[in-house]
Amino acid sequence: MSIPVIISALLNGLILGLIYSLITAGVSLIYGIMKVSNFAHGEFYMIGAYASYFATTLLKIPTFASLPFSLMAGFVAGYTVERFLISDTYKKKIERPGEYAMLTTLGLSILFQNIVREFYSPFMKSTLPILPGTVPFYLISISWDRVLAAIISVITLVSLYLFIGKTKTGRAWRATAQNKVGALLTGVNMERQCHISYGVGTALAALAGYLLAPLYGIYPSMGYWPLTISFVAMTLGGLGSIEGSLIAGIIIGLAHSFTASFISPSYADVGMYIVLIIVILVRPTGLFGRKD
Amino acid sequence: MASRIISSKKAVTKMQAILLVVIIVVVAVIGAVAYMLMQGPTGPIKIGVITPLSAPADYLAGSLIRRTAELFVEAQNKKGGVLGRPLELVVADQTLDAGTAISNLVRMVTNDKIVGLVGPWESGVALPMAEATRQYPTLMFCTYSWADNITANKYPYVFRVGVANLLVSKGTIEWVKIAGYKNAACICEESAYGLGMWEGMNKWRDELYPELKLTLITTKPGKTDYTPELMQISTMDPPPDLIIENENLPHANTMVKQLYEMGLTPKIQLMSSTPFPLWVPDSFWETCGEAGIGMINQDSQSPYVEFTSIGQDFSTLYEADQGSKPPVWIAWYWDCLRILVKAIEDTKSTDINALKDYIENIQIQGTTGFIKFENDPTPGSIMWHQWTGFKFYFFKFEAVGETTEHQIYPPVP
Repeated sequence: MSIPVIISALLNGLILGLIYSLITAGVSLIYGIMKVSNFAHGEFYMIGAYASYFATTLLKIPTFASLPFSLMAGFVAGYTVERFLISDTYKKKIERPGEYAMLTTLGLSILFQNIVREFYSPFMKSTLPILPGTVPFYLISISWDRVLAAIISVITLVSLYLFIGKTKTGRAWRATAQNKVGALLTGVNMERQCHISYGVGTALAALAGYLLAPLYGIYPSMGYWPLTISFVAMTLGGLGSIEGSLIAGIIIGLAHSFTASFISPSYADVGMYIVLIIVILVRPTGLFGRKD
Repeated sequence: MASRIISSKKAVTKMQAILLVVIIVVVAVIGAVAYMLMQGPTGPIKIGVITPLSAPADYLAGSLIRRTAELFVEAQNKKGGVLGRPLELVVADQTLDAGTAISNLVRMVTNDKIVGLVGPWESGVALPMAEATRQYPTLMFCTYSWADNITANKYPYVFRVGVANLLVSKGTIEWVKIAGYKNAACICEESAYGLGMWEGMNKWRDELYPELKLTLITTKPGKTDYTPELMQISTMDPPPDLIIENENLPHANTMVKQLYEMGLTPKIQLMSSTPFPLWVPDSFWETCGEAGIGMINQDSQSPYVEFTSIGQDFSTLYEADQGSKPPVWIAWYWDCLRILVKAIEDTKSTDINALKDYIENIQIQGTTGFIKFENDPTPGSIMWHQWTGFKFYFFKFEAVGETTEHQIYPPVP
């Protein structure tokens, strides 16, 4: 076990972890505010990637210029889904809102995948790199796109943390998360805040899809693994905790990288789940979670 | 409810209700008898097609298999059918769920009375289907379901006109030896295909090229980021001179991309045993771009090898219908159907055991070569109901967009 191997595994794990954090941010935000498990998160990630792909191929613009299209597509899709399907969970029109939201988003996930598969193409596509080239580092090289995704992940999560903590809208979101009736009584337009926060959560998923499309490719079922990772990271970090998402993503990335490098690639995922089990046993609410 | 009907003045009387039930039963019995008579010696001969027709199974391949079967039946019926009876297809979705596929198989065997079936695709489903033919006997033909056990398990009614992991891996190791590589990292997905290839490569390494060092790197299908797993290649000492990839889509493409991104290729030669870049080149090159340059691909089809006259007839028919030449595995399904029909014609029977005995010893010109089955009863041997008359070809991509332009082995005639 040489120093270059350790440093390479550390760097690779850190960057991978920050990418996982970015993927987790949206699902964590939505759960934090609305207590809704968004099982269609992977498909909003897919929508962001396809929006970037269509913008670059149809409008002939460079990949970096397609960012607004991805964000807009993610936000509009999420806002619409929340407005017409998920909002029933807090309007009390249904008996089991949690189960309803879970099944609705699960159904949407299947629907979105099949729409793309049937009406466009089942084959893998890709956008061109946002920042072409790679940077060599000890035993490996890392693409600039990967570095960019990691940096944007940190910026996004810190900005989101500050936004929720310091702004008026952020306070309204926190009030909605704590007590919806109480928020209404203090003059918060609760429904609107839910629409917007859900849209922002799905736009974050779309942002991840945009940034990772040049690295991972674009195809109908591309959201499956990000969904798995985001739920593991959210549980590890604490349900609905933004700072928890950041730390949990990094821990999972490092667990992946070190397990694969020093034990066996076959156990790369096992490392992630062992960390999750240990944390849940010691702290059932996750690293930054709070009891309701 | 019944008493309310009977007690109501406006409702039917008890007598009328009994009469109605009797009429329904009589009509149903007459219908069933007529249906059974139609299925007799004068009715159509039915062939089952159980193939993937919906996602997430490979429904693109499945739709081509179904169309090929339809073309075959149309052509055969134009010639007067088989034994004077028309051929008829019974089609069902294989899906990726073995339970669904098996229930379709059971229905076809018990209700539709098929004489045989074609179309199984993914090994994970094809293998349980093969197992089901022990209890629900029907002739089953596979082509591109690679799992060794499809033939190694000695199913009495299952035949394979196509490749198997053990045969593909033999082709791989033979080429590795000729090319002179000494130390190969093998990336194998955790599936019947990936791990089957690993077992096969080890077996043939021991027999054909014991100096070769093989290192296994397993991956989980469906992931998006394999950099932690691929890190192991960076840390291998001595570094490998060859990376062999045994992965399915879509992660097969992701892997090519990430190997390049990590600086492992083209410094280390990459070879893939799956011919996806040749089947869906647009998607491969759009996804991988320059990461695909230098990669070597193994396939069982070469543009330098002509179809036989049978194959050319089929190719013409297929091209007129689909607008492109048939892939080799589609041509092999055509062969499966020809084998089944020839067996029925020559035995003048649809009895499954008579057909099985005949097919075991059949010798027939196929689309890509002469077909006869190996019938080695040795336990564990895959040479059971297995055709072996195919070859492997290796292509190197010298530029973006290439497919079979540069055949590196065997040398172009």
